[in-house]
Amino acid sequence: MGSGAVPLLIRRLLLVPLLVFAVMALTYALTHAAPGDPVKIIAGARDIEPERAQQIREEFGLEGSYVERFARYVWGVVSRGDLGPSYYYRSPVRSVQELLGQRIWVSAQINLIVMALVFGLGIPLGVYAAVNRGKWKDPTLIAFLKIFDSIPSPILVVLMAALMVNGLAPIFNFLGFNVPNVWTPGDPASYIIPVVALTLPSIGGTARFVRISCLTTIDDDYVRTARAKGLTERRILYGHVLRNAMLPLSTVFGLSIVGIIGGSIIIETAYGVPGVGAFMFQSITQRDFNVILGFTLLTATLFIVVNALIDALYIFIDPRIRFTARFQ
Amino acid sequence: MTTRAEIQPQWAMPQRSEAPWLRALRAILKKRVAVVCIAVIVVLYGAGAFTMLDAFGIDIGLQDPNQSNLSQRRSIREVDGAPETLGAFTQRLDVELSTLGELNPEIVDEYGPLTADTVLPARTELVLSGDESLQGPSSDHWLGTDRNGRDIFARAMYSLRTTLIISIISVVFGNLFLGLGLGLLAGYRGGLIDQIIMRIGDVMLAMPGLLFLIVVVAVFRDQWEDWFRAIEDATGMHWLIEQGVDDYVLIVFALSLVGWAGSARFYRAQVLALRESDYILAAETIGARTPRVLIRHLFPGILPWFIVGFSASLGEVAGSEVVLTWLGIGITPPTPSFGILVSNAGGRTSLLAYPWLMLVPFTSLLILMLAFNLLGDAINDVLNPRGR
Repeated sequence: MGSGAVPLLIRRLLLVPLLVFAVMALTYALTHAAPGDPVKIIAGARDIEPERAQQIREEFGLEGSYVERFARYVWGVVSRGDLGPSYYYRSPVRSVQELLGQRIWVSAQINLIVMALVFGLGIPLGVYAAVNRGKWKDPTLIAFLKIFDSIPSPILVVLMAALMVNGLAPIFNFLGFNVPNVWTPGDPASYIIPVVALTLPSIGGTARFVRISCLTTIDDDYVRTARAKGLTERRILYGHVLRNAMLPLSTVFGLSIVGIIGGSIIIETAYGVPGVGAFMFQSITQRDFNVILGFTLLTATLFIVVNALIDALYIFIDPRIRFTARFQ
Repeated sequence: MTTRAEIQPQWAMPQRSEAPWLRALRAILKKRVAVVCIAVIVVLYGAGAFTMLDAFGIDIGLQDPNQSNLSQRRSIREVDGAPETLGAFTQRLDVELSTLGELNPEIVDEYGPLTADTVLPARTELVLSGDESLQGPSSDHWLGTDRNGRDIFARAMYSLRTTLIISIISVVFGNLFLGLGLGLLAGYRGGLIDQIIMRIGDVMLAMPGLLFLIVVVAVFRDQWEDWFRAIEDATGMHWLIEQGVDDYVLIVFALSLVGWAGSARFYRAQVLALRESDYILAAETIGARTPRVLIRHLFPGILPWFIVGFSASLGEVAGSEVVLTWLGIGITPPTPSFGILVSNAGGRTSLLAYPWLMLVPFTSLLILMLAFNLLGDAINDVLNPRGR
């Protein structure tokens, strides 16, 4: 480890709580200051008696000034992991973390499968395109993958449903199952449509990125040396070219998490998956701002932590960064 | 001295070299894909711009995108998911008319007894024959009609207008004004300004874009119309909400707010690379001020990158608008938009029974977004020869 690595790492990791706090402040300001009085949202009416308003304020921790409320919220999150009460589910009052906790598992499953597929398919496809550069295969493949990137996800879900439920039904029947039209609890085949609809748009970007990364290293001297040594093309490709191309790919990893989480709001809503994404959308229509805040906080924290880890990894793997990185 | 004097007359001002953006443009136009993409974008945006003519009172020969061509009974209500039959409708009308008659005897005195027969028959026939809902493509309706009998071709054309307005304005505002402006400023001035701008940008980028967008739109949606009513009253421009201007402004506002940080960071990195160039130093030496250096010297240097960013953002913004509208928080009816076309098209069963409902927005968006995507890639390849 070079001399600069550890302080740089510490600086990078110290940024995490700061960023999380800033995101929290921003989202809190958006969700609690802008939309008017939360009391009115909770009561579901414009005119309410003062006693009832006071009662709601006490019950939902809305007394005091805006700053006091925010301080209380932050303290609740930090000390107890408490994301506040839901405005909508309130007989009995349910906490946001409880509501999100019930739904997060199915979303996490889908997102993890999608991540595995995106990288499992995107990397080989990108390498394949890079190897075939200058031939018709490369632009055709990349353009083909771009098609899925260009279809808005609500349409993609419907098209996939028609394809899987109707078009490909004989194949699935032959394999012994049916793909349901909407999410069916307990049916593993329910995963197919959301997973496919989330995976297809993301593969193109990953493949294109891998392709470019590979192409930037494929002409390097050390690759020529490897070839001169008489290594097989396969070993050169996977042992030398891809290994160096993987490093920038880790940034794409962080970005794709975001893409997939954002996408799952739509896909889950469209397909009726009982996950956090669909719940997030439902909360938006119900003006359940604590849930919106909690979900945003959760995703943003995940994103910030993953990015910090990737940067930390970078610092250790690539010695050049210690001396040149400016961390901006 | 003498040699110098001899050389001097032969020395001529060097020919002004081609501007970088002109060189880039030339290289881009050599790529067939890029030319096709540009043509497609021009045609689709042109179609959107064409529909704007009617705002100036010019008849453009399109059907009214919001004109329902329905029989009256259908739009009134559904019974058990099916349109109310004429018989049931007449019965219900009878009951309601008799109540009306009891409450307002003066009407009965003037017009005679109120029943469905006396009030309706001729008109009902007329309306029934005008029911044009869910027709396939025909010479009257080139791309068919939707559930309300509205002409889908006209709706798609007007949706292109929405896409055009939203994408251009948000990209100009978010990417050009905010992103490029702040990126140039941060990169060139450095120091405290840089720190402030980029730290705010970091926070923006720390949130997943689509999520942030949804939150911003959802939060402001509620008061937005109230604010616009106030603006309408204050300015006397009472067509604002009717023309959907409030939705446009909300979405442009949200997209710019969410989108500036990424482009600012990108342009800043380009500026950092350029800032140390000799020509910038030269400009500073002769006393050029910050705005001049930014606009006259730095901007042309990063212009090619700006084109990449611009074309990529246009597609992204067009897609975001569709998603927001589909979620019900973007463009609201009656303003036509592809998001509304998609959500009106329904699900799988509708796709199989009335494919044109979904295929029209699907094809238009696919072509448009693909054109933007491929154009962005092509430009990127030209400017980034290593990845070719």
